[in-house]
Amino acid sequence: MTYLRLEKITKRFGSFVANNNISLSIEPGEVHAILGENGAGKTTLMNIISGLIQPDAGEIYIQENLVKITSPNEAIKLGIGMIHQHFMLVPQLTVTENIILGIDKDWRLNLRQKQQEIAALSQAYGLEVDPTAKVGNLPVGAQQRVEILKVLYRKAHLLILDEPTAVLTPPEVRSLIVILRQLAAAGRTIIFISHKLDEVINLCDTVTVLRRGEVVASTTTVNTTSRQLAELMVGRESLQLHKSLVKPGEIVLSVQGLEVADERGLAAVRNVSFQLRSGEILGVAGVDGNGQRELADALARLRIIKQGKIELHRNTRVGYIPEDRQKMGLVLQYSIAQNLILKAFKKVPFCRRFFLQKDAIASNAKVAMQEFDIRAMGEDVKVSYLSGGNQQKVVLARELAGEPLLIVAMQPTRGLDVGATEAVHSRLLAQRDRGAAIVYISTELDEVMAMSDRIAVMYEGEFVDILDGLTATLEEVGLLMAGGRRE
Amino acid sequence: MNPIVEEKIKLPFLSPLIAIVSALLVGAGLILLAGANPIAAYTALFQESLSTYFGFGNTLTKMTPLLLTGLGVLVALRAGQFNIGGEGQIYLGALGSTLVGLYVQGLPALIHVPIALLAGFLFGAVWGLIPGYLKAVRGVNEVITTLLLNYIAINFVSYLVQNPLQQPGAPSPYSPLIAKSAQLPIILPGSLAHAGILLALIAAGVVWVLLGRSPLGYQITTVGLNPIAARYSGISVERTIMLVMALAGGLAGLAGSAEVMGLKYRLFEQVSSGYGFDALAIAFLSRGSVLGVVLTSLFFAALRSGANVMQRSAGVPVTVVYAIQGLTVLFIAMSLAWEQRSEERSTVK
Repeated sequence: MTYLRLEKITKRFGSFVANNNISLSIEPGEVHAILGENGAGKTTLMNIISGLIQPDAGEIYIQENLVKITSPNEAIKLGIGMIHQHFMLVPQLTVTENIILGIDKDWRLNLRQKQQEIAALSQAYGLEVDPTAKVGNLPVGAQQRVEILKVLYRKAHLLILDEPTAVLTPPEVRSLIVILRQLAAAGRTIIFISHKLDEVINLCDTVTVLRRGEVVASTTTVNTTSRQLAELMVGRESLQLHKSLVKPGEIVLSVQGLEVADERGLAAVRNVSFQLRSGEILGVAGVDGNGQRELADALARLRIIKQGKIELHRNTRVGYIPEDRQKMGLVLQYSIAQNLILKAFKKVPFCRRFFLQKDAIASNAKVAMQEFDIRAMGEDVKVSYLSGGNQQKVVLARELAGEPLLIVAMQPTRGLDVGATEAVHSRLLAQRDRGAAIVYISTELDEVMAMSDRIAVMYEGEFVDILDGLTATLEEVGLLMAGGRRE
Repeated sequence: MNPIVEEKIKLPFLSPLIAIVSALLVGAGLILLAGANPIAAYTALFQESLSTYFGFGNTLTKMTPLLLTGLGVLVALRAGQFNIGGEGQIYLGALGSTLVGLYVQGLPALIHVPIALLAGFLFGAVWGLIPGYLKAVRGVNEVITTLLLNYIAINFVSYLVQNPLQQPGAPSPYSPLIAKSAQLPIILPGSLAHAGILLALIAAGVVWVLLGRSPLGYQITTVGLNPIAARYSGISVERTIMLVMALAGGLAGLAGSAEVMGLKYRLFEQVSSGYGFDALAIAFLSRGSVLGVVLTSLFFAALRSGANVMQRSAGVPVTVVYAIQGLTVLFIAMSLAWEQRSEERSTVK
């Protein structure tokens, strides 16, 4: 008897179909991988199973009983436990307090007895953790074990783990895999969401591959290879851009043995070396969270370098299109005109004789709006009222002003529609043609393929390879991105 | 899109007005409870404080420290910093001006007054810079440090006027008179109104230009609205915070200077009667607008200066005025929460 069966689940957001007719079934005690690129519909599907959102059509069966999962509470009652990528823990509380939070309905707290229960539970499943420890003091791997204990304490039989290894160190990943195998052996059913192929092959029994909201394959891991999975995951017609032939000029950027730490002080970028010439686009492909953010920040001199060197030709200004335009690239409460002077407000013509020059600021904005096709009622409209595409055009207009020799673009098309995406691409290609060197970082593989003259693949902080943009194939890059090696 | 934009432009002026009117209405209820006629009470209050010569002078005198300290809170708020330390900064500013007024002698007023004011500004600025430094470099919450530094300042001044600075043979703790050349002139003869109000209005003008027209104002506002974007665009968030806290402290310090140089001519134990805390209410009520701070501090000053007359002529206890001040703050907090919620609702599509 199958434990969980989905029948033709469909979910639309407006005109966008996030999940289209998805059917799958999972046996009890099975570890089932859901594999897919960013935006393939994995998270939507899991949110449906855990009751956060409702499907537009389709049915869910648990042990062959039709169920309606109307809320996360309902999901917990049905024995479904979700372990989010970002932990839902209170750092100031102890492990025990976190685990009993929200379900302890006794009049008396009786922490000691609950500590014993939790200690027993953690021993039974090999989830080593001290029930009296404060969660904030635990390493990330242990916090994740607390999350797992939390759903087990709520008597979950189906555990959903959303990219659980993204935040873990390699030894923590190995111990997680052991724990999950034990849980499966004890009869729990596990859904493992990932885009790391070797983990899927190592850990899981069966795998469902999603692409653009649809199931493209359902198979057992013994019957497939990581190369096949990579092909299934990314396979599609490639994006075509009109690109002139590359005429690389002098070296603009030279990076040697770069090491950069993330917020936790761990090495996020390791031993990265490359050179970039004027008129050239270096694409950086990789799954989200493999050190791209730290690399981009370091290149834009916003993050301290731990080791290595970044040499810039003639100390040129860096045009930096940040990943998060709303949090970092723009001041949402400012107008278009005010945002456009963010990096030059102290300079002529915007500031003369100690005062901001209203007219110069406004006319600068009018010119930029025309040139970059920013659609708004006027230059004094707040950018929070603009669409994502127009917001990004404001960032572009500011960052490309003054023709910087080096441009770092991080996920510049994220969340944009087709038209705006095209505008961003053609803008950047025009910059390349005039001689700018561009680092184009994206998790959208087809974009990187189409834009780049050379493609660096980033995995766990390293450039695993730098390929020629003309000869590299989607499968090759997809495999490297997922931690596979070329034969 | 247009209706939303228009609404946003109107609201900053609308909601403080609604808050004040609501506070006066509820205050009227309290006056009724106290067994008096609210219309008579309010008439007495505002007639005295705004339309009599002496009363108006009194209002201007009370408006001076409120406006200067309110500006200090406003400037800090622009950079996202809560300066609860206005009270302590007033004490330090008063001390600075007193020292220059006592120990520097024989200068013409044209030089002595500016130096005494500068000393007040600098003493206040140091008192603001301490929490600014702790916040920017050490990450210590400025709400706590500014609040606690108040008590240090108040007790420090209290110690000074009881010991080294006390006038010999004085019946209660206060310092000797400061030099005539360091005193601010009276601008409405026969009333208490002194040139401090002109200083405060000039300061308001300077702050208005600084925030609205200068690159520094842009920098401060950017840090307040989005520190991440500020850092990304090359602004030093730490230096901006330190600068703004020093400026805020300096403005409040000037309030202390004006109290000593324009009103008391000496340092007392009780330099300020809670102006630093009223300034918080004033700055929040004004929602980032300099003009708002001017008008609101006039309103608060009128309440303070008319209160006693209201008690005498209408038999309403002075405490009703404090209740009205408190209610105004309460209503403005409510309108802020309400606006935030309606904004959230309009952004969730």
